Amino acid sequence: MTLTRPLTWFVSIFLLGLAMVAFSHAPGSAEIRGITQVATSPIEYSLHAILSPVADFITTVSSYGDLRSQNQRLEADNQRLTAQVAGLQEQLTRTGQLADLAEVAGQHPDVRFLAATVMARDPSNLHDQIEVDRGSDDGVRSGMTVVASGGALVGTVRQTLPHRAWVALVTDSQSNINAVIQQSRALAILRGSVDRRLTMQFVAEGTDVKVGDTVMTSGLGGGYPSGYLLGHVSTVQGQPVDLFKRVAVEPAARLDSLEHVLIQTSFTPGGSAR
Amino acid sequence: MIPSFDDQINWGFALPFFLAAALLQATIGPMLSIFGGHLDILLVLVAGWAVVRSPEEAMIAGPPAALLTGLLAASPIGTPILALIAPIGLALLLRSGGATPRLPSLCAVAAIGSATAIGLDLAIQFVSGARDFIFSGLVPVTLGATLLNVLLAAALYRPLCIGRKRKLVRRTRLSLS
Repeated sequence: MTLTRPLTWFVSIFLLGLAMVAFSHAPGSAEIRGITQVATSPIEYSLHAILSPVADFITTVSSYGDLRSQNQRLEADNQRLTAQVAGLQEQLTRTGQLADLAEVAGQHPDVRFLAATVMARDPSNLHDQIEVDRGSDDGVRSGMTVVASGGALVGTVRQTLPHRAWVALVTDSQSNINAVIQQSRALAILRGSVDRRLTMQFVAEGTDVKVGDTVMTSGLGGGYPSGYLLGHVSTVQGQPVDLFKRVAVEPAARLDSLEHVLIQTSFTPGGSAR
Repeated sequence: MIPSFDDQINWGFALPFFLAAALLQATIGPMLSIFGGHLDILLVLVAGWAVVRSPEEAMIAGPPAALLTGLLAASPIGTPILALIAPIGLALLLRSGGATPRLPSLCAVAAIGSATAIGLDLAIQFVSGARDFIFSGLVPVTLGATLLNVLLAAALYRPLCIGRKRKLVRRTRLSLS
């Protein structure tokens, strides 16, 4: 096959790219994405099962120094473990996770939850999002809140497909949550960032904030229901001359190892929570 | 000057590799990270193919694979397609300058392509209406993604060179005839 004009390619690809970006916001794009993801999910599962140990290995090589000391400590424990015990432990963990989620649902009998399994993470460098196996056909809508075991807030549904949904985690760079520090009752905005860290904004310098304080959703603005655990204050910085304190927060949910979550289907932003 | 396509190309050979890279990108790309930056397997493979083997094959087989990546990610569908423009353009410029494809060229194209892709993603998010980004960590994330992509490019250099000599001989014969 022979082409004659590379410049034609550049113009065509540029226009195609822009058209696809625009199409992403069109109503039909969700259906096409849904079909593609359902069609490729068996291959993705297989690849994930085969390659995840390799990926884990590559990632952990970078922290070799820490792992070496940790490995010596864990070696004695590993000797006691057998494949059968590992299998049972895995089963127990899954049961425990589901029990934790059921406990959260039980704590809020007046709230409707939908259990979902985490399918994938967004490869983007700018966003921190996960994909779950529930979508618009299951009643999931944009803006619904998502919680993990223990009742900690995970994030909010950003985009729905027929059978899948993308959930923007609280650490996402566009995450913006009205929060309250439980001990001092100080209100602030909890923001995510590109490096997936949580910071509290607009905490006045005179506010009494200590490391370990609990941060909850305040419910102000109607974007999130109130009373959900967000995390704990990890560092507090600032000089007396500063207007605001720099407060870092450690998320309560283990966002890097989520497997099952609950979607609060009875809450949509601006609407009333039931 | 950008050269015109005057070579017999075999994009059907490249396409399965690119589609596999797109699936790998969606599956294990997010799991590999340094400083918060993720690996972009498709971008690196297309860049490598364009630099080391044939820009023309990368230009034809790259966009369908990029479209698949866009459909499997949460970002706007066209973002990975637009991200291919920079590495393929650089590969064409290298070829037009008569440079022999070498490892440093490939690493440079992969690095520039990675940084450009992140900038492009940011620009598209901005145009799409996202205004309240917190940019803390953007530099380490960009550096981490670039480092990972350059390492992958270096690892792919030798495999991509397989069969290239035969292709160059065929190309030379064609141009002489």
